[in-house]
Amino acid sequence: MIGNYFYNNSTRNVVVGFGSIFNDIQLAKKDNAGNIAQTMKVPLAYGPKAKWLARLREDPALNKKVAVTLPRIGFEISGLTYDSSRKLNKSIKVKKASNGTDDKQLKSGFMPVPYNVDFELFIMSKNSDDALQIVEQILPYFQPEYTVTLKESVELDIIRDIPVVLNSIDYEDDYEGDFGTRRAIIYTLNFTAKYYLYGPVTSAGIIRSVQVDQYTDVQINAPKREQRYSATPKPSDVSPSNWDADDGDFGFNETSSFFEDAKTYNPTTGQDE
Amino acid sequence: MPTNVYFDTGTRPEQHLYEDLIIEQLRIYGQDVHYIPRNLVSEDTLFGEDSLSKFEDAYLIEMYVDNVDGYEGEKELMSKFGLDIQDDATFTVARRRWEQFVSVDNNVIVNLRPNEGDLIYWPKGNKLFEITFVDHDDPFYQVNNLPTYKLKCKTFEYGSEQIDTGIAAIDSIEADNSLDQLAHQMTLEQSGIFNENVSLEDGTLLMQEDGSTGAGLGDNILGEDDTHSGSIQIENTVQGAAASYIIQETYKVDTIDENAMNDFFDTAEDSILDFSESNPFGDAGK
Repeated sequence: MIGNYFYNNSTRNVVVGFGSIFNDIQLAKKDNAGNIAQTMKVPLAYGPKAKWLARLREDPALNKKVAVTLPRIGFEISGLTYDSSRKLNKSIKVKKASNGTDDKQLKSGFMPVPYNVDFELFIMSKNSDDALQIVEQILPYFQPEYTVTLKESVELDIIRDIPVVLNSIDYEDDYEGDFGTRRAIIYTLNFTAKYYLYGPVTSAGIIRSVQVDQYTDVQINAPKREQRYSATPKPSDVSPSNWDADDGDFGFNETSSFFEDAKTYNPTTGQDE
Repeated sequence: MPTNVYFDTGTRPEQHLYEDLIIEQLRIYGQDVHYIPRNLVSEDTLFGEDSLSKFEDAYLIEMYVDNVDGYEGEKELMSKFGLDIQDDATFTVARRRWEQFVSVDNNVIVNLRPNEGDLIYWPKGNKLFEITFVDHDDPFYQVNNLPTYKLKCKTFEYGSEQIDTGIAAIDSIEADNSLDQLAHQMTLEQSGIFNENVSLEDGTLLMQEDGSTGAGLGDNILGEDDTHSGSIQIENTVQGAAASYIIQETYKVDTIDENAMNDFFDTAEDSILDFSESNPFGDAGK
């Protein structure tokens, strides 16, 4: 039943959107006179990785001389939950006329499903002040949410503001204990990004001709039709790619025909029979 | 009741002999290491730390590596922050030798003994260790003296500290790992003169051609987001910095730090985030 392949990269895109919020955090170190002696970008990375690849990338020649470089920021997905408060009628379809070379098609998909993806963002530092500089550059932007505008569905051309909500902050400083244990200063910020998951997108031809036979009396045997109304777009080959939006709406060619026969239109043969 | 004076276990000649034997053994079985003292630059008296420490000297001295079966600790570890090499090692150094070679320069924070926070570079293992604990009483008064220090060490967590010891293998740690943008500044020939301008031989400042227009037209100084080679980056985002400065394109966080993805996100967001309209509640990456 479920198995119609589709993949919209929705969660992946939210991960990129979330990461891009924090990829430009700066850090400055001052000397005793208050002059800035060092400035740096704080390295950011998505935490989970294939272990073998991480080691090959970070220590290819097995000659890494230090443990780790600090400060740095890591983040990871910590959970996905359904958000019923944002749910809309699931029978509504989202439609989008194809453009480009495939502009004779209409793409459609059912209303997306609202999900919350939780992120944990970790800030690790050697020094308290470094960590505080990083944290203080983040917190003022979240009141309690910060919004990124995501191209949520390229196929359906949907762009949506995704709020990223800061839920809580944890702080850990392992300074106690024996001297053989490393001191680790780690701030953990918990976020929730409210996004949508899209199902498969189907495409169908654009309806370019409408024809209606109208009856005044629908008797059981041989009802007599009275009028046929048909409409086609004007120009007939109008498509999303050649429609001039500045020129206003395109029109319709409308035709009305009158009959007093008992024939019925056969859509297969295209004849009145 | 006092101890029996006829059975004294620690006369000065005995202690010196014992110390000489230890030094001889350390010189036979030990390894050459570099002892690198830490220089305090900007001590934060509130938080009790110094994020700008410098390491500007290295003293070659013999030490015995106690770990005969390899490093202790958790070794290579996969953490939330990437690869973390947590190798622990214990180095034994003779007290007298340390005083002769290191302490004599008055170059350590506390001159009486090896200091926690100082570094040890072990060339054979190609690792930089930080002394986390100086064990001063092991062995424990065998002839009524304490002739050695055992230095409990962990691989150094590097935080862009300046390392200028004059030894290439050690100094390369800073060159390979430091994220200090100021180290990538574009400098002028006589940068000490404040009114010096960027000037070229023919008096014309030529810029990188952006490729979107004809030759000689529309050339720009390329921004950080552009991918053309030969571009320069302008950094002035740090509030309170003395002035804007130009950094060379060698400053790529993802290249300096193999685990970093800053530049990746910077590029990936272009096709995922929409900046066509101003967002009053947030414009990540813009």
